[in-house]
Parts: sequence; structure tokens; C-alpha cells
Amino acid sequence: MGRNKAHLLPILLLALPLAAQTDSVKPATVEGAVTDAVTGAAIPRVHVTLQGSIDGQPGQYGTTTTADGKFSITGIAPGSYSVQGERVGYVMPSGPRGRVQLTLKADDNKSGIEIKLTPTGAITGRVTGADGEPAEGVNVTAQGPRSDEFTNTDEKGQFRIGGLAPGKYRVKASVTGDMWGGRPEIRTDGTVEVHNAATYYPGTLAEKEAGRVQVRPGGETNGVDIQLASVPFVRVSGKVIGMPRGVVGNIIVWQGQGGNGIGLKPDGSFAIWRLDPGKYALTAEWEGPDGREVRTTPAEIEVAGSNIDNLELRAVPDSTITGRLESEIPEEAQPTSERVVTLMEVRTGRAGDTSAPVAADGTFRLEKVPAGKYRVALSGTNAYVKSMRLGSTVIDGAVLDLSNGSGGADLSLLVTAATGSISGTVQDDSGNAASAIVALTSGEDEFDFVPDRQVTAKADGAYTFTNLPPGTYRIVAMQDAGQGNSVFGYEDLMEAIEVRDGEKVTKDLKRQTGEAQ
Amino acid sequence: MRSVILFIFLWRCLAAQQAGIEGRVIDAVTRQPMPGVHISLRASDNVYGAISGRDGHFSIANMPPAVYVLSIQRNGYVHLPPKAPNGRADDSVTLKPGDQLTEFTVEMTPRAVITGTVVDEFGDPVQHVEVEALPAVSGSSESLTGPHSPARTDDRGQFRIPLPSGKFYVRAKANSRTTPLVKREIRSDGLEPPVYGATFYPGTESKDQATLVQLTAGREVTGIDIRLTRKHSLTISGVVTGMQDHSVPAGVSMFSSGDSFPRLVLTAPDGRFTAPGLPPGLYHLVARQTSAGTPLQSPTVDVRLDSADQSNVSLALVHSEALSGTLAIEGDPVEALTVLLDRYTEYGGLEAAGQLARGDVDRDGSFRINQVFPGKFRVRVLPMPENAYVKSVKLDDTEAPDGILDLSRGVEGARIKVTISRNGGRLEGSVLGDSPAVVVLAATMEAIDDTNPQIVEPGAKFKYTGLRPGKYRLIAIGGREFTGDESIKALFPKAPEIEIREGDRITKDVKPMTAENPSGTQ
Repeated sequence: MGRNKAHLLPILLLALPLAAQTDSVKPATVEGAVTDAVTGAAIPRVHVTLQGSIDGQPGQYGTTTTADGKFSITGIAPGSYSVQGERVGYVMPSGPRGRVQLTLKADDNKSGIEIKLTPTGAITGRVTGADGEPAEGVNVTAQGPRSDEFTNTDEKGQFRIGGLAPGKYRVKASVTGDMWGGRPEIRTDGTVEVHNAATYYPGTLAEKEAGRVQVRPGGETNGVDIQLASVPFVRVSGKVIGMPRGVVGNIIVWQGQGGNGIGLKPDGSFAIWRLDPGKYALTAEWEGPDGREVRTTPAEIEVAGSNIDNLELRAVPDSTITGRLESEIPEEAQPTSERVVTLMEVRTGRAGDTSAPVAADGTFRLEKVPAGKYRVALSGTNAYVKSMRLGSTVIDGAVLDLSNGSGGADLSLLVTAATGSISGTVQDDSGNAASAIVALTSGEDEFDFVPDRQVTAKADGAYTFTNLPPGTYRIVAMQDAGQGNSVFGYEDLMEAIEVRDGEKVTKDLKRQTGEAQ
Repeated sequence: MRSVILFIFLWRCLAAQQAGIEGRVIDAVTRQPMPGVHISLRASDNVYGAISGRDGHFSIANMPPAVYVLSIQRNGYVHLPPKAPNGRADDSVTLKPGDQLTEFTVEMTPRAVITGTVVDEFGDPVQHVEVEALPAVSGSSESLTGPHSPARTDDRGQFRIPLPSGKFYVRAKANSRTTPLVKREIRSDGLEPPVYGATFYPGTESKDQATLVQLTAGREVTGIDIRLTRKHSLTISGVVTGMQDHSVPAGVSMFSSGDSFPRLVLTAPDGRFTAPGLPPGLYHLVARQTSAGTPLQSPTVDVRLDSADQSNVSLALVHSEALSGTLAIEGDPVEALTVLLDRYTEYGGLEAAGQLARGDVDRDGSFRINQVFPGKFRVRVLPMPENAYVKSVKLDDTEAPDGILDLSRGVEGARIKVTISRNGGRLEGSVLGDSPAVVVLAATMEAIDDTNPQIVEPGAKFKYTGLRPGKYRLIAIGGREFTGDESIKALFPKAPEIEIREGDRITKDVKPMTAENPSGTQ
């Protein structure tokens, strides 16, 4: 299929200044078609792009498919590109299918490039209050592998969440702005104000017990009805100690990594009435005399039916912590790359991480550590923190409690080599060895989708992870690389696995095919 | 004996002071009673509530006397409060000691609904477009994009907006979901990337050619389909100079009023940048780069896009400088003060503040503020002593106009002198009448944007201290809601004027003003 070179000439001239090439480098062309992954039909007006680096910055070549789904891009500078297709109502599937990686050389003509787009699906349903009446204006969120999408119910309590990538979702209904609603209403007519808690389909308060709703490509999953659970009103009250007079402060309620705040009363007191059952951390903040923000130590509470009063939130100054690593590793195995100690706050996201490099003699100095509770991590080495000592106190467990600062004490970390391993063979459904991508996440957070390690098992199915500290992990053998280097699409298929200190665990894995393929 | 009788007498008086309310809820259209309607009355922290029964009847007893705010809720209905003599919606209910209100009838109006689809020039649905309804006659009290959140089109391009009855223009805003990082796209098919402008139903940019939609209570109007108008896709390109480290890109942030957040484009290693896919407008550009921990920033450059691309925009990165100065205090001396610079922009838009530029004041009054980039600033002093105000800010012996320091070309060795006076003016007073009011004190109409209104309950006072000497207007509006700067500005010319001199202590009571229609079209 020869191309008419004369036809190409005017386009070449246009392409040259844009791509900053010399006359000797001829640009490449790419052509192909976009089809619906389910029906196979051609899709017109899809925005097709070749994404890569143009003149040293992220850029793309783009075009739109014709009425019969075809596209053609010319004048492409040689390089590596990722081919994508976008159109409302479709998603790019995860994994290499549908996402083509191209390496183009000068004068390349790549044709027959196929892009398959998966049609999105939708979830519909109805939300009723604890009293059975339709609930208007309730936020309904579908929490899925790629992202959260949400909408609000109409006056009949009905909702539709569309544009969802196929997969499994948790669906949560919550009354917007409810947390700061104030004390329960006083009624004298015999009726009682109902406090509706955020509820997951089909009807639980806890995220871990939520049901999953399957969304199929191009399909609408109906009947996802949720009746909001009613919970008692619980008062959480207290006072901030040490806030200067006349300063406007805020109280912030943290759940997981997210926080929600409201103003404190002028005397520093607060009363919160409408928290759903669960664990929270409370902090208060205000602008200090020098314009910098002052924060109090987080106070941890669990809301479970009775009032929690007389909380005191105090500001504790940041600590500077000097410390050292005490290593059980023999001298010759000491690492040469830079080791870094990081403190990661456990309850809230407010403090972020504090890190410090470790000097050759094993000492480190962590500056400006806000009061709080932390996990300690060590990077740049195959050693891990086996135990900790603050001053002369041995820390029980893995959490460093600096709620009242460090008291000037030194932090001593006993470090030892991570020698655990997990190895085995990946097999397909027939029991034969199969190639796969094996992903490993640390099992702390079951909603952590970014693998800490990933290794490719070849045709012999063999895989190994070495230098593992003791702990609980989650592992899965995937047929395709997860989207964005994650385990999206496979998160339900992960298995828990425990590695003890120095233990060599053998585990054979069954290769999993991801969802919606 | 007498003391016992006195005690019983007083106790009965207290009991008699409780108030109560009872009444009916009816449908404003059918005039039928409505069951299951939630009525609530709020006064400061306490809320009293009731649910209407089968005959629409509700009652609440044993309420302390107070001025309550009434709110009524039922799915699909809206409570349109009657208008008070001052022209604002009056949702307050006053209960005096011993009041027992009976036959308190409340009307609920069924909401109307508009539904439709937003499509592009090919008829394809467009997702994430914000759709709003503008009343033909302004003054509606209901939120115009629906009572709960802005209406946005879904994956089918569809939207649904509940509204009160009336006549409305329906407008789709330009695609409000932008990836802030603008990617350069090269097209060989001769087409431009799609850029759309705000469009009125059925498909025009101008309000004069738009079709009004008539809504009746309780009815749903469907098929309000809007075809978006395609705008020219324009490009701003240029170069960032002064980059210290060519292995790290500089970022160019572009902000246009009407955007919810700035767009960001990264430069090539040689500093060139291209930002395509921009609708016409006025853009404010700032370049930033951090290399080896040193931040660099350019002065803001304004670029106007009308119908042609703008190229050769040059943004020069410079290092920050230190600004030195002295602080003088008129009045008793104060220690441990800090001087801060807040970036000032005419358009009040988003400029990443980054590190706050501040300097601590020494014993002898001198201070040094590091990390000052070219730009304009307002000066703030913290902590402000009681009743103090910033009296003067001088840049090299010249008074800064309106207190704005113009360092657009950088510090250039200038020094500033900040004077604070501890002898500011004090103003207090009460609002005449029984209702709560919102009070605003401002020297100019423009200053209204920066002031915080005070909400004054009946019997309480408003208080201002640390007032800069000058002429002010005092505006009070009945109610507890702050309806926005525009309606306050409309009252500014007619509000009572007060002159404050240094050290004044003035008491002035004020009457709530009649709110006029801000756009004056009613």
C-alpha cells in the first residue's frame, strides 16, 4: 500500500517547526481504528492521542476518528508513545489490551492499530430514611477501583451514577453536612428526630462489611436501594487549652486521612452532636502570634452510643528528636546508599511525614516533629526496624507515641537484616506453569492498591520476593499489569500471607484474570 | 409565709412565660393539608421541631420566648416565606413571653423541575458541564442551580434542576472540568481542539436571543436541550528566562477570572512553553521554578486573548530579595511583633501564596522580610495590639497609595516604614427594632468585599475597634443572612455616614434599611 509521497509534503513542512527537527529526520505516521470492546462496532468522534514527550515536555499528537471509527496521524517525531482513546461513555480498559505502546522510528508507517474502548456502566437505586420515607438530597457515592463518583438523590430519593468503569463498587449514602448539624431537636408532639448515619449498600455502617455492586460494560445495575440506618445522637464535647483570647480557632474531626472542620466558640469550647459510630481523631488549630499555625495533639475517640465529654485539646510544641540506628547487621553488609528514617503519622494526615537522612555513623536528627503517634520506616536499606527505645523506655509494638512530644529523649532504633522471602510457582487453571505479574503489598491496609513490590514470572511460572521484613502481606498473580502499576481489578483476588522473621515461605499461586475483560 | 407565697407567685410567672405555637401546613396549589412535613424553629443553639400529622396539624409547646428562624422541609416542596415590610423574605417568628400562637398556617409550594441534555456541535453528549437557571426577573430567594448542589451533566449529558415556579433562562457554563495541567497537542488533521463558551438554551451565547423557560409549581419541563457554542481555541506561547536548572521544568500558571483554578503548563528544558486550547479572555501568567531549594518566580504578566494567538510572551524568573524596614508605634510600646506581606492582586485571584513573607521586629523597631518576589503587597502586623490600626506605610519616604506596596520591579534596595497607631476609633451601637440584623461598616464600596459582617441579635450590640480615621457608612439589613456583597453595595450610597477621628469613642444606633433589588429590574 504505497503512500503518495507528494501528498505528504505539505504536512511535512508544517510538522518540521513544531517538532523542531532537522530536515534529515522524516516523521512517522500511525493509523488504525477504534471499536467498542463489547459489540465490536466502530466508534466515531473518539479523541485519539499519542502521548509522550515532545520537545522535552509532556505533550501529545491528537486527532478525532471519522464516522467509521478510523483515524490517521501524520508528522510524528520518532519516539515512544502511548496510544489512548477518549470519548464520553467509554473507558480505556486496564491492562495492555486497548492501550498500545508504540516506538516509532523515522519514516515508520504503523497501520492497523486497534483501540478497543469499553462502554461505561451505571448504578441506579433509591435511598430511604430510617423511617422508610424517600430521602432527598442525599449524597450517594460509588467507591470503585479507579475513582469515586457521586451524585445526589432527587425528591423521590432516586439516584443514578453513570460513567462508571466496569468493576465492583461499594455504594455509600450519606446525608450531606450532617456532622455539624447541632444538638437534636426538642419536640413536644411525641415524634422524635431521627439521626440517619452514612450507610453502605445493602445496609451496613462499616465500610469493611459493605456489599459490592457489579457494574458490567454498557450495563445499568438497578435496584441498589439503601435504607439509611438510624443511630443515637452522641455528644462529643470539650475545650481547647491554651488558645489565646480573641483568636478564631477551628476544631477538625479526622476519619482516616480526611478531616472536616468548624469554628470553635470564642472560649475554645466545642460540642459536636452528629458523628456516626466509628473511630475519630480530633485536633484544634489556630493562627499563632507570629502568623504560623498552632495545632493540638490529636485526641482519639470512638463514638459508640454514649456521650464523650470533657475532652481537652492541648497544643504541644514540635519536638526535635536525635537518634541512632543500632544495627545487628555485620559490618561488611552495611549498605552504601543513603538511608532515610521516616516518621509517618498514624491517625490523621495533618502532620504528613517527617524524614531525616541517617549519617554514616548511624545517627539522625528529626526536626520539627509535631506531637502525635507515628510508625517508623527505614528506606535505602534491606534492614528493618525490629524494636525502638525512646530514652530508656522500650516501646511496646510498632507505634511511637509522641502525643506529648518526645520529652527531649533520644530515639534508638534496633535494626536488623530483612531476610524473609516468599517464592513459588504460578499456575494456570489447568495446573500448568504460567507466566504472570506477581504483586505484593504490605498487609497493613487492605485498601492499599499500590504494590510495594512487583516481579514478573516467566513461562516457568517461578517468582521470588527476597529481603522481606516480618509481617503480613497480600499477594496476587495477575495476568496483565494493573493500570498505573497498581492492583486495580485484582484487589478482591489478593491473598493474605504471613512471613515471620527470616522465614522462607513457599506459596504457589493461581494466575488470576482481572475483572471486566 | 409571705416568702413562700412570693416564691409560688414567681414560679407561676416563670411557667406562664413559656410560649408555644400550633398550626397547619397546606399545599399552596391544591390548598390541601400536608402530613409528614418537618417544621423547625431555631434560636441560637436550640432547635425546636415537629412533624405535621394527617390533617396537616403541628404543635410545639414549652418554648422559651425568643426570635426564632423558621424552616420547613418536605421532599419536592419549597417554603416561600412571605415578604416582610423591608422587602426581604421574612422567615422569623417572634415569640414573646406567654405567647401561644394558634392557626399558624404555613404554605408549601411544590417544586418545578427542568431536565435536558447538553450536546456539542455534533450532537454528542457533553459530561461535567455545570447548568444554571437565571430568573428572568431577579430577586428569587431560591438557589438557582438547584437546592442542593450545582447541576452537572452526567455521562449521558443530562441534567435535572428543581426550581420554584417562574420564568428562567437556562445556561450551560463552559466545560468546568479541566485537567489543570495543559498538554500541548499537535494535530495533523487541521482541526482545533474543542473549546466551548457558556451557552444559553437553546444554543446561543447572547441572552437576548435565548429562549425563556416557563415553570409551573409541581410540573416537570423536559427536553431543555442545549447545543454548546464552539469557541476559537487559542494559544499562548513564549519563553521563561532566567532558569537556573535546565533539567527541571519551570511551571507557568495561568489564571483567568471565571476559571475555578489556574491552568498549569510546564516549560521545555530551554524555557519555551505553549498553552493551547484556551478560550478568549484575560489571563494572568506567573512562572515559578525551584532549583536546589531556591525558589524563583517571575512578575505577573497579563495576556489578553481576543481572536488571535499570543506568542513571544516573556516571563523572567528572578530571585527573591529581602525587604528591610522599621516599625514605629504611636502610643505605648509593644514588643514581639511581626510584619507580614500579603500578595495583592487587582483581580483578587488565586496566586499560590507559598511561604508567607514575614519578618520579626527587633527591639529598635527594625525588621527584615526575606523571600520577597516582585509584586504588589498589603502590609499586616501581628499580633495587633488592642484598638490599633496600620496608620501609614511608606516606601522610601513616599506614602503607599491605599496601603498597597508596589514592588512590581522588585525590591531594588527600597526600605519601608510602617507606622501603627494605638489610638484607633471605636464604634458601637445597637440595631433598632425587634429583629436580628446584619451590620456592615465600610469606608468605600470596594471595601465591602473585604469586610466581615456582624450579625446582631435584638438587644445585643455591634462593636468595632481599631478603626482608621476617616468617613464610613454603616449599613444594617434585617435578618440573619448575609445576602452577598452586591446587595450591600446597592445600599451604600443611602446608608448613614459616620466620621471617625483618632481616639474617638462613638455610640450610634442604626435602623435596618430596606433592601432594594440589586439589579433593579423588578
